[in-house]
Amino acid sequence: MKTRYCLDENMNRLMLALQAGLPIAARPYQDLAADFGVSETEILRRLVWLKKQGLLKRINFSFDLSKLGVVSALVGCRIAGPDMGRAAKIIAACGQVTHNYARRHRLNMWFTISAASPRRLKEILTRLNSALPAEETVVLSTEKIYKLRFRFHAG
Amino acid sequence: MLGKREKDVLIYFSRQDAALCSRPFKKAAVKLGLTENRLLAVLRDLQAKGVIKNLRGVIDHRQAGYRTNALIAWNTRGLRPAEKDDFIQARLVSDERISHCYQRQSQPGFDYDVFAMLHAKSAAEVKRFVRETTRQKKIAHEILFTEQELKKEKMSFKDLLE
Repeated sequence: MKTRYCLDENMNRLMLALQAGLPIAARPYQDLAADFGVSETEILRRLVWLKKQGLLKRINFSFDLSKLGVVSALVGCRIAGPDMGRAAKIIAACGQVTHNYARRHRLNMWFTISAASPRRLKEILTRLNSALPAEETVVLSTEKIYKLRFRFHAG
Repeated sequence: MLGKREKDVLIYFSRQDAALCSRPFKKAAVKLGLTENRLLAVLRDLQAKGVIKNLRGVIDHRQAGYRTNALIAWNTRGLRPAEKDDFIQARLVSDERISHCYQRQSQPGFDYDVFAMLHAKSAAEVKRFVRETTRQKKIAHEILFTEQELKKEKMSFKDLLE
């Protein structure tokens, strides 16, 4: 299984530059190309390669919806082993859930949920709570975002 | 509040990635019924409002060698405000292996207020990180290693904006 990459220094720099952000411009890759002293075509060729290797998942916008009043919470549940599959299905079917992870802990299933308002969030949680076979649930509402960013390098 | 055009643009880009081509917004503009320049103006305006943070590449951290990740929770309520600030900024936010860091309202049964996601190359590295962050001050904490990703997807903003 090929999971480790030894990228040359240029590719590593490119990965970091991608994560730092591109300009919102008609040709966002052109500026990047200039930073690397290569043509736009060459930069695009490298990006396609990184994507093909699976290192680059996508290029898109990152948003901060809290600016629009969107609220979120992290929810931890204790689900009995045999109920894990069913619980995961119920959570997956909820459109307001973005992430759900099984974790090594008494509270063994953790998901994040977002909604347009605190009232809406409460409604969704009430609905999920009655459907989920959880023995214990904690709802941890977001008070402050200190950091929301990925910045990795390979190798 | 946002106008319909801004909402349409946000909903569109919550579902679509930027294409790897010379002019990635050209097609999007056509789909949205805008000129490319108008679309760019709307995007820049959303960025000025802080709704769009930036345009960036998303790296697959597992492919990049970060095989282990964990949710770590700390109870920082015993710290003075300046100490807490230093703990969060110097220990957590500035560490490039931390992708998310939040303050949350703690609950009975889970009495922690600061949460972070750490991406590391091994479980030992996670434990070492936690040991180092809590060495000087005794800060109660728990490590919740990720066992399985059950759902991870881009959320459509449609339900959130309407």
